[in-house]
Formats: sequence, C-alpha cells, structure tokens
Amino acid sequence: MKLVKKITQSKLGVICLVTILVVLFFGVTTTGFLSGNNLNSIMISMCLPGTIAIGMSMLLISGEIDLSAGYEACMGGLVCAMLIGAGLPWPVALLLTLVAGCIMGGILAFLVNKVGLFGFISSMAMISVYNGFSMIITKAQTITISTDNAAFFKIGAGSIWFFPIPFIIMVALMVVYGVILYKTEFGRTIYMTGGNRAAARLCGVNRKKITTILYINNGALAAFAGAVVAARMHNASPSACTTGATDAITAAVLGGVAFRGGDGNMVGCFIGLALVTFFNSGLTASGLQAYWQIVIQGLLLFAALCIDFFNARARQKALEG
Amino acid sequence: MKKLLSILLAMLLVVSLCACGATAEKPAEETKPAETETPAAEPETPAEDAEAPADDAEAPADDAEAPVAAGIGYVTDDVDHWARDEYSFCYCYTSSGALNDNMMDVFRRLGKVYNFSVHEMNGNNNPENYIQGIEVEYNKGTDGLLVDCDPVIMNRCYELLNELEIPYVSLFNPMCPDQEALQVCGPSVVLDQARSGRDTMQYYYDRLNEYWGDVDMSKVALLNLNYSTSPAFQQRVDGSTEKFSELFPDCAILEADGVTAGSLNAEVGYDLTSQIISANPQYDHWIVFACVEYYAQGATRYAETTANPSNILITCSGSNTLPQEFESGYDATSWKVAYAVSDICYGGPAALGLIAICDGRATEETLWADRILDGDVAASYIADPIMLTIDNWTNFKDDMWAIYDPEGIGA
Repeated sequence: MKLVKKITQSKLGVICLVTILVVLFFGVTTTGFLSGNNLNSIMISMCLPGTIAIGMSMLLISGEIDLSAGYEACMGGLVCAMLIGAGLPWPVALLLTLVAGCIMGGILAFLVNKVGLFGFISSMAMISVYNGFSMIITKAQTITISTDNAAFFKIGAGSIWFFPIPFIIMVALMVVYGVILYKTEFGRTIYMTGGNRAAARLCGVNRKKITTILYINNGALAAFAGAVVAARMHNASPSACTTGATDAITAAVLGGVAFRGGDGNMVGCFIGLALVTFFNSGLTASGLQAYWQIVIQGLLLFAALCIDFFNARARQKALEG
Repeated sequence: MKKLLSILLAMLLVVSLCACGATAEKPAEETKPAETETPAAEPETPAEDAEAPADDAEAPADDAEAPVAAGIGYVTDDVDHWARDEYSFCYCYTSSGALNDNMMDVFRRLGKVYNFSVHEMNGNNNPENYIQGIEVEYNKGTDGLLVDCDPVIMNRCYELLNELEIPYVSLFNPMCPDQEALQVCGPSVVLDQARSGRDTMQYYYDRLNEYWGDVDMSKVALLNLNYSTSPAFQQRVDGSTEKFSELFPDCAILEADGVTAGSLNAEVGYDLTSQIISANPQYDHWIVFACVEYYAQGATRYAETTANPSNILITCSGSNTLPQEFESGYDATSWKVAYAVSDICYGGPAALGLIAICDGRATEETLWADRILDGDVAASYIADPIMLTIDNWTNFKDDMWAIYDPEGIGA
C-alpha cells in the first residue's frame, strides 16, 4: 500500500504505472505484442520522436517551444540525401546536415530573441517556410539514396545485438542530455529560465543566450533525426518526419516535462515516449478501428495534460500555503 | 484530489481500451463482407479490362497504342493542331506535390506537340482559393481548364464551370457533383482505383509458386495499408480485399490505417507494417498492399530487416517511387510490382480532350462518347495502366511518350 501511495504521489510514478498497464494490457490481449520482433519495431519507432523530444524537452523546460522541429527534421533528411547524392562521403554529409540544423535553429533563435516574436508563432511560420522550401529544392520528389551507401543505412536500420542502432544513439543522447540537465550549471539555469524568468534575470542568468543555444541544439537534433530516418528509408521526401514535433511534444509532456517550463527530465521524457509508442503500436496491432485509435490517442494526451495541470496547481498551492 | 483524478483518468483510459478491445478481437472473416463491398456506382472498366489476367496488364503498350477509334478526343484524331492559334490552358490543382509538378512537365511537353501553352493555378489547400482561382482564370481569358479538384468541392466547382461555360476536363477525380450518386457529369480522366487492388493481387497469385514455392496457405495473410479518409485509397483497398478473398479464400486479411498517424510517408508505412507483422507471428508469408507508394516503400524497408524478405510480397498503385528504387539499386526482393499509370497517360487524353472541346469538335457531354457509361452524363476515360516491374521500368515512360509524342518534338 505504501508503495502504491509513493508511486501515485509522483508524476513520474503515475506515468510509469500507466505505461506498465498499457504494456500488460496489450501483452495479454494481442498475440505477439511482447515478441522480440515487435519490441524491436517499437524501439525503432521511438527513434524519430525520441531524438526530437530530447531537444524539445530542453526547450520546453526553458519555457520555449519549436513547432517546426518535424519540418527541420524533414529538411535535415533532404539535405543529407542530396549531399550524399552529390557524391559527398556520408560522414561529411551528416556533419553538414548538423550544420544545416544549427542554422535552422539559429534562425528561430534570431526571430525569438532578436526580433522579439513568440517561439510558438515564429515556429508556426517556419513550418510553412520549410515545407515550401523542401518542395522547391526537391520539386516535391523523393530523393533516393543509392544502395552503395550501406554503411550509412546501418545508422538507420542496423542492430547491435538485439538493439537497433538508432535506438542506441537516441538513448545515449538522452543520457548525455540528462546529465547536462541535472548535473551541470548550464542545466540548472535552463530550469531557472523556464521556472521563473524574473528570478532568473535577477540572478544574472542570460535567458537569451541560453534559449539561443537550446534552439540551435534543437535544430541540430531534429536535423540529425531526419538524417537517421533517411538512412532507415534509403530516401528523403518533403513529406517525411513532418509529425515529429507533435509526437515529441506529446511524449515530453506525458513524461512530465512542464508545458509552461521549469520542470521535467530525460527519464520522464523516455517513459512518456515509451508510453506513446507502446500505446500506438498496441492499438495498431490489436486491429482496433482507426478512428477509435485516434480518439484514444487524444484521451491519452488529455490525461497527460490533466496530470500536468493538477501537479502545477498543487505545486502552486504548496508554495502559497 | 489530484491523486484521485489522476487514478480516475488512468482508469478511464484502461476502461476505454477494454471496451474497444472487444471490437478488435473480431476475426478477419467477419469484416470481409463490409470491406469487399464495391461502391455501387463505381464505373465499370471499359472493354472489361478489369477482369483481364495480369499477363495482359504486362503488355500495356498494345492496349495503349491502339486507343478506341470511335469518339472524339483521341491521339488518333485527324486534326492539324498548328492550323489554329495557340490555346492557353490552365492546370488547376488544390495543393502542391510531386504529382502536380510531374503533370506540369507533361503538359508543357504536350503543349509543344499539340500547340497549347499551359500555366498553373494552386489552391494552396484552400477550397475558396481554388474556386476564386477558376474565376480569375476565366476573367483572364484562359481557353480551357485541366481541373484536378478535391471531391469535397466538386459540386461547387461543377456549378461554377457550367456557369462560366469554360471548357474543362477533370483529372484524377471523376467530375461527380453528387458524391453520393457518383454520376459522372463532366469528362474525366481517372484511374480505376479498385482495379489497381484487384490486378496486383491477381499478379501475385499467378506467380505465387515462383516466389514462394509450395506454401502452407494457412500461414499466408494479406496486409492492407490504407488511408481510409481518402475515398480513392479506400477503393484501392476494397479492390485488393475483394480479389484476395476470391483467390485466397481461407487466408486472413488484416488492415492498418495511416490516418492514425495522420501522414502519408514512408515511416508510417514502415511502422504500420512492422507493428502488424511482428504482432502476428502465426503468419509467415505476407502480401502487403499499400494504398500509396510511400507506404509500400516503408513496408519494403521493414521487409529488408526481416530474416526472409522474400516472404513479404509488396505492391501498390503508383508509377514514381518503384522506378526510383530500381534506379538506386533495389533488387525487387519484396516489392516486385506496382500498378502504374504514367502521368503521360493522364495528361495526354486530358489535353487532347480539352483541345477537342475548344476546337468545337466535341462538348463536355460528347467527348469520348464511346466511354460514357450507362447512367453517366459524360465520359470517364480510364487511364491505361501497366504492371511495372524490374524488367520494364526503364522504358516505361518512353513507351508512353511514343504514343503522344512519337517524333520527340516536345522532349
């Protein structure tokens, strides 16, 4: 009973519990849900939203948001595929893709910190810009990567033992960013920036500098995620990855990253991601009608937002009282 | 209070899952009748091509080189296109994409052969923009419109075109102002959606022994990758389901719907395929029918990660992506065939039909008179398909251009 109480008292505990229930439910009701093959495919499905969710969580914790991350991923994949197609060795192409991601993040940082626009609105505008631009540079066609680039394809579809390489990369990134968030001074200032801007300013925290770094970081991670998807699919297209930001935000918020900033961590982000992916995979595998799946996905997000809301209110009450 | 609400919400979620889980357990057979229902007003394929064996479909050039002689608006019309002034046409589409870019390229080349210029009007996903765009084109004095219109605004579009009395030919979607009755009221160049599903199933059925040898049929299943909110895609899946049920009466049919992910891209195809196949280990041989090429491409990537990629046979409707795959070195282990209609086979008849109307040789109601089906007011020109494979993809487009631009004038 004490354990149950302890679990339900923590936001992360509740999400963990729900994730376990979801896994158990589908494990019992759906044949093959817990098979090695399905777990492998779930791990692969986690990679795109997971990699974007890392940068997105950092941004959310700092009180910012980038709705265009999915389109940055799409652009990243296209840049990578085009550079490889132009004859560049794939490591160089990947490096230049990261640079392109930094530039995209930098543009958003400029709009937010120099021009003074809201991140929400600026990134919505950038969605349209990236979408149109991706159509222009590709003539709306898929860019196929030659099968000569087998080593590059490993990044997207290779495995080490049981674990897909993109999943290993994503988990490694989560660990690194988790340490940065939790154990470094820079990480603490991110929480401070998102938690209370006025207090952060009074403490001498340079909010603009921090959010600029986070936007650039987010752009680079999104572009990397796009390149990984291109490696998995052997191509890049203007329609690829575009829902990445929504999925990443859902996973992060479900995992306890506060939508209004100041709270959250990478462990929660991972659990939120696992919940969403297991949930979607289970719904598909169960053969449930698609439209019901959409309703239930919405309910899941609604539940997460409610948990976030009530936690925030409880915290506020505790501070006041 | 907080804890209580959190637990209640979690419970609500679990209860919802349980409630809906009962529906999910339905055996595949139970869903078959509904899935196999062919829309009552689906146009019959001219010349009964739909029931032709797949082998016939592999030799499209023969069909395509000899368009039906009767009627007006064909490549065989005895007309000197250079004896008149150049026509100005507008290609009107609702949102930009690869298909529209390809069509514009086709129209530009055809224009050099048949003496017309073409420009484009993009509705930018906004129906009002699209309707206004048509009015603007009329006011500009455009001679005729190549209309690629969303079924949602087909009624308004049809009314406007008739009101303005501007010549037009509809592309991809039949000009059916009443989307329930599905009576074709304006000349339309279309794909026989259901046939794409039927013919590809027949193709694999005919070659099953070659691909899989003596396979245990109880371990064979069909996976339809659908995007059910699109009526056209749904018809394709209906066709594959219908034919598969007929050819493999005891085999299971499963479906995954991309609307849950909300996008048409390869990752969704990959995820849906991997989720369904890995959750159903009781089947070890799969035929995957994808409603769009992107999904087929994603399914192919998944198949490559399995121990026996050749146990998964993939197919779809579309002519662009499979040739790209072959060009990049793909060896057709899983994705062997696509039901392909070249953009030229849409663009050619549409342009020639529109010219015939502008010339006064036909009206919207008399164009391709030999292809007007019972109950329809105007003709549905079913674009000529081929079964695109690793053996014929290189000459695919050249063969089609040989019909509409035999001397290579527009190349």
